Amino acid sequence: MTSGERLYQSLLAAGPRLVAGLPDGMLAETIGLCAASDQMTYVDCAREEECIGVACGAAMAGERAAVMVQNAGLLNALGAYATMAIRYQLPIVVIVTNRGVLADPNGYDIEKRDAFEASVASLATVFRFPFETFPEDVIPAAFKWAEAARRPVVIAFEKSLGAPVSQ
Amino acid sequence: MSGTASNLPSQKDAIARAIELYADTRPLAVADIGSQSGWLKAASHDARNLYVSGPMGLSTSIALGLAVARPRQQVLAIIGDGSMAMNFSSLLTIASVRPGNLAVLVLANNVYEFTASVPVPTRDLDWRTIGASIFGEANSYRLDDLTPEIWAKAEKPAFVAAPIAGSTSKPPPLGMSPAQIRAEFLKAVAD
Repeated sequence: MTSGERLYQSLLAAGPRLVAGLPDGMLAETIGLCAASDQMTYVDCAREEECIGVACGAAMAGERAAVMVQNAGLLNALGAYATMAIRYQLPIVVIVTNRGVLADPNGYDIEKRDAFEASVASLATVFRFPFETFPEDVIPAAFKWAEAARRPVVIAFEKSLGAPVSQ
Repeated sequence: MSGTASNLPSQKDAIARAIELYADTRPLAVADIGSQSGWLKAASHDARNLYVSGPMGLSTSIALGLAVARPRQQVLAIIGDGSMAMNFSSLLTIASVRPGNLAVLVLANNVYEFTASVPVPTRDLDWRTIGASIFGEANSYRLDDLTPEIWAKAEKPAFVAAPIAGSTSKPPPLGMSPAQIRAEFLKAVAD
């Protein structure tokens, strides 16, 4: 099973009513599976800030909702994350691919990681996992944590050194 | 944009009229930050109102998520022209999802209400035409042209353009915390 398939299975196990997202190379397979699924609604938004809003709308109705974006995308949406998700205590799960780490050294991604560490990591609760070997129950656990904490949570997936290069 | 400043409704009256279009079916009303939330509360306070304090323009996205989560309930996003410009792409996303229970009411007074004077960049645009180009001609309306009978048969998602008078008056403070808004809304949606 690929990492993308495992992430989809983890999402399914959590049972979100909807997932809102924008593509990243590491998320493309999972997005395709979510979009084809009859067990959730995938909303393909035009901007990452919209994703936070759409997920917050579902959470306001008491439904589980997740967001899937790249780290640069969450940077675009930090205002919404702070003033809606945090301010209204909404337990949404934001799945982020943290590009630009040591094992993922694309030149155009380096500043994204720097900005993620400087802003998102200081504002939000972030749990990090290697994309190649994350536990299957990570998304159900993230929802349980967010609902207990009454706040949103960021699950950051990162490439790791020594892992097979598949994405 | 039709009407002159002297005969255009206030923001509060336009919101009240939009809510009344639903007749006996009170919509879940998602109002944008600032004057839309304040005037919605003043015009028609209800536990089914969601007063948003997020970034300007996010109400349409929140309303979309709500519409998907509650497909058997009507959802109305209430947003100003300045805010709509800030989250314009949400109209494209709504048009893609095409929820049959969502309407977007754009209140256009050509200025950022809280400044009472600073013009919005969309001041020369015809919002109904923009709505028609994105949602379809049959799905875009002017509030003045609507009655409850017409609205009951209107295709959704719907776009409603409402030219309103500019005003220097501010709505009363909400007087509700985000936690209180969330708790009351969650209970009302579950009922």
